[in-house]
Amino acid sequence: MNTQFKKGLLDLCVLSILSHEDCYGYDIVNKVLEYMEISEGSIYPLLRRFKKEDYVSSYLQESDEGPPRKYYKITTLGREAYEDLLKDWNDFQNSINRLLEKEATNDQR
Amino acid sequence: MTRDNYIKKLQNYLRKLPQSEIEEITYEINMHFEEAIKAGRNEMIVADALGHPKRLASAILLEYDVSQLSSDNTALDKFLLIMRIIGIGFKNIIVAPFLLTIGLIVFSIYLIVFSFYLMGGTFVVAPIIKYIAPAIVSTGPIPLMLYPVIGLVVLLVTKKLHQLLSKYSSGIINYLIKYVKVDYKKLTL
Repeated sequence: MNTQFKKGLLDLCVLSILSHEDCYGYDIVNKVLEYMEISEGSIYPLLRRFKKEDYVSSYLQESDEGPPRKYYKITTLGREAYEDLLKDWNDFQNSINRLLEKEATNDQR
Repeated sequence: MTRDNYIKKLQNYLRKLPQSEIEEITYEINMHFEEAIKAGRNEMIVADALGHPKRLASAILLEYDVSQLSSDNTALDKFLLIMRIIGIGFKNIIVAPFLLTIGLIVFSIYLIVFSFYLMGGTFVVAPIIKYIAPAIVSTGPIPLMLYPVIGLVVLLVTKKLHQLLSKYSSGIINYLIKYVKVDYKKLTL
């Protein structure tokens, strides 16, 4: 998939993941990787930006072994941003679909 | 690349950031390795999958630069602010043409204002220069004592223009900042 396109969607994907449950960085990376190919590092600058924009907060939690994990939790502001992005995405998807359908019917003639 | 090597390189690329920020990022990337190795992955493969440390660092630095922009929004020195916006533009090829164009237009208008200040100033001191070094000043048909008067008028008009420019360039600068903020999201990695 086109990289520029993916970058824009990564915000939406990560917010969606966090809207279901709190996650730590590596967990988010794996969840995204199930659906699309990304450079694993790209999640971290994104999480830092989300934190600065108050879309997420973070807290440390002890894990079974090794150092404590840093969990990210979506904020109210983050949820609002998620709803907005989701709406944008749906609108975009709908209009592209309409365009593709129209072109397909034109081709048949 | 080994884990230690990766982190060392990343820290080196990030050295202009405050220490606390570097530590935060290091913790996060270290944890990434930790979890991946726990899951049975080879550390070399993990380092590869993370993307080159330089790329990761530039995404973090870009994000840092943009967040800094908003914090000194009220900076009096608009000149430097414009240069920084142009600088951020340079780091990314996509916003660069737009930012460079607008940035350089504002920049050149500032240069014009500056040259008018210079001209006014030179006119004001023309009689003094004439007195010190008569050879380099040729006043033509205009009486010498009229020069400081013209110079003062030029300075006053330029000052007025400068004020107007400051007022309007704030608008342009705010717009640029907004533009960078919206657009840079697509650029991080």
